[in-house]
Amino acid sequence: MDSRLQQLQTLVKESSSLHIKSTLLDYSGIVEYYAEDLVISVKAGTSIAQIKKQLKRNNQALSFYTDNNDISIGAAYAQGAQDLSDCVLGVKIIDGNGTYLNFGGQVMKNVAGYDVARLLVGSKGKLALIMQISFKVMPVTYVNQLPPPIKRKNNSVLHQQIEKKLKQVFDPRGIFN
Amino acid sequence: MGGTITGEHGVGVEKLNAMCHQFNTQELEIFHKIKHVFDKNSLLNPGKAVAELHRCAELGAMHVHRGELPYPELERF
Repeated sequence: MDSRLQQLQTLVKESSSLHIKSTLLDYSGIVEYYAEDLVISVKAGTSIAQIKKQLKRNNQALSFYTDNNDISIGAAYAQGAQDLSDCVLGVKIIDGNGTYLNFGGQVMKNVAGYDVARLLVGSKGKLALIMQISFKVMPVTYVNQLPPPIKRKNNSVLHQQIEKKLKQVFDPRGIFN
Repeated sequence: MGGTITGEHGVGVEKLNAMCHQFNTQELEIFHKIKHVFDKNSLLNPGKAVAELHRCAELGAMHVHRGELPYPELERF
């Protein structure tokens, strides 16, 4: 296990309050990229621009919408970038107790267990520290013919109630804010 | 390798034991807690889809690896 990961685990364990930002993470880089399988795994602090650059070399692109290339993939994930949940395959997280957990993987089809990787999309850094994300990518020609993004309202009362309960699951000590 | 035990057919009952191999104790616990969020009284398909920790502990012959008992925190009979 890499040392930065262990540092962050210790940080979470010893903290009583953490405001998650990409700068806090200092954890970036492309871990694995299988162009022929259309799968990429990146550390959460990796910038969208860097990922796009890597993908472009293989004529591939992100199949979710991001208007800001300067943010990290972790930020796009936490903000719930449109259609991001459609292409997420797996995440590795540190929960509120400092435990390192792995949900999902790099495979396209996976129905074992609940879909935590998609559940945490849009969690705004309040549920867990997102460390590594795997998602599928698409050929440039496919992405170019996608329809433009649409505005959606996603803050229903139900959503908030569920989020409160999920907070108890992932961050029982309530340190992420 | 990071694969999955099933890609298309659900876990149900048949593949329950395999869940113990793909996920560790903490991950399974998160699943149980998520289930509890939506199904407080465990009315919906109890015991299916996500393996109980006791099931994982009792799976197959007892295998003590490097002196470590699997799931040591669970009560044994």
